[in-house]
Amino acid sequence: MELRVEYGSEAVEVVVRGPQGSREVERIVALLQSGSDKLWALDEERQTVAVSPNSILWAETVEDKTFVYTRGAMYQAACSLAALELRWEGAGLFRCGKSVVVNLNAVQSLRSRPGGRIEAALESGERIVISRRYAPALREKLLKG
Amino acid sequence: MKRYLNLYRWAMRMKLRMAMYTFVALFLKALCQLLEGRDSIRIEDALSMWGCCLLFAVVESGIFPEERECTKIRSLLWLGAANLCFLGGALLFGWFDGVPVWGGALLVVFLEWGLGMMWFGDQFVLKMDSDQLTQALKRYQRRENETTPGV
Repeated sequence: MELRVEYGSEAVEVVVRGPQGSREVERIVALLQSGSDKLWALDEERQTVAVSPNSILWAETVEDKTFVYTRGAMYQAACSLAALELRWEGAGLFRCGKSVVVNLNAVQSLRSRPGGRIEAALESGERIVISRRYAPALREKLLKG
Repeated sequence: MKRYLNLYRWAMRMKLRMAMYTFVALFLKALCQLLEGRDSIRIEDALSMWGCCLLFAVVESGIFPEERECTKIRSLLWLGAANLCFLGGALLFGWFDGVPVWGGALLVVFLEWGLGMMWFGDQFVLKMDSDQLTQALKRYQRRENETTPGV
């Protein structure tokens, strides 16, 4: 398979060229159409499930285990919080505390708190506190893009 | 567990405010004592100051709980409670008995000025910052949605 990337100023367009019926072409198209790669995690019944990073509201580390929270469920992820943040920063994941990551796309409003902290209100009604250590990084990310 | 954590958070916030008020009250008392040529504060005065500050901190946390917006009524209630606790405490326990009238007036002006600055910092400035942050968040989310099709 040959990979060629052409940089231009137009909108992003992906062209997959190959023989009709090719399994490789079908696999690549399926991967592109899936939106993004998935996070493999264990649900509450210890079943392995694929979690879309866009559905993650927030995640935390407790006793060296990473737990991911979506709107209706909680999962245990195999990767660390740092790996989660690094891999899916583009999906909005932002480190807001020593052991907490929040999906900025799932935040409804932000509230400035005394002591330099910021409180994020999520769609689910939960509130996550962005510690004073990470608040400046959040401000920079939001205000400068 | 969640209830305990909420109680703990409330207690820590309340105690921080109580400590701040107690420190200021003791500082002013100490200053007045020094100006009157004395170098000590009675334990009864210190304890009664701490008690009034504790009472006000508890009342304040009820008037301005974290999840509520600052309204005019809440602000006026807070101001009233502050004056009742501190001015009332000063008169009831005689914290500044030896201070001349002009000194008492100065203390009252300092109290009102301090309360005004606290209200401005706690509510107005933070509220403005919160609104700015939320607007920036919405702009960020719009940008992310534009650059990530299918999301």
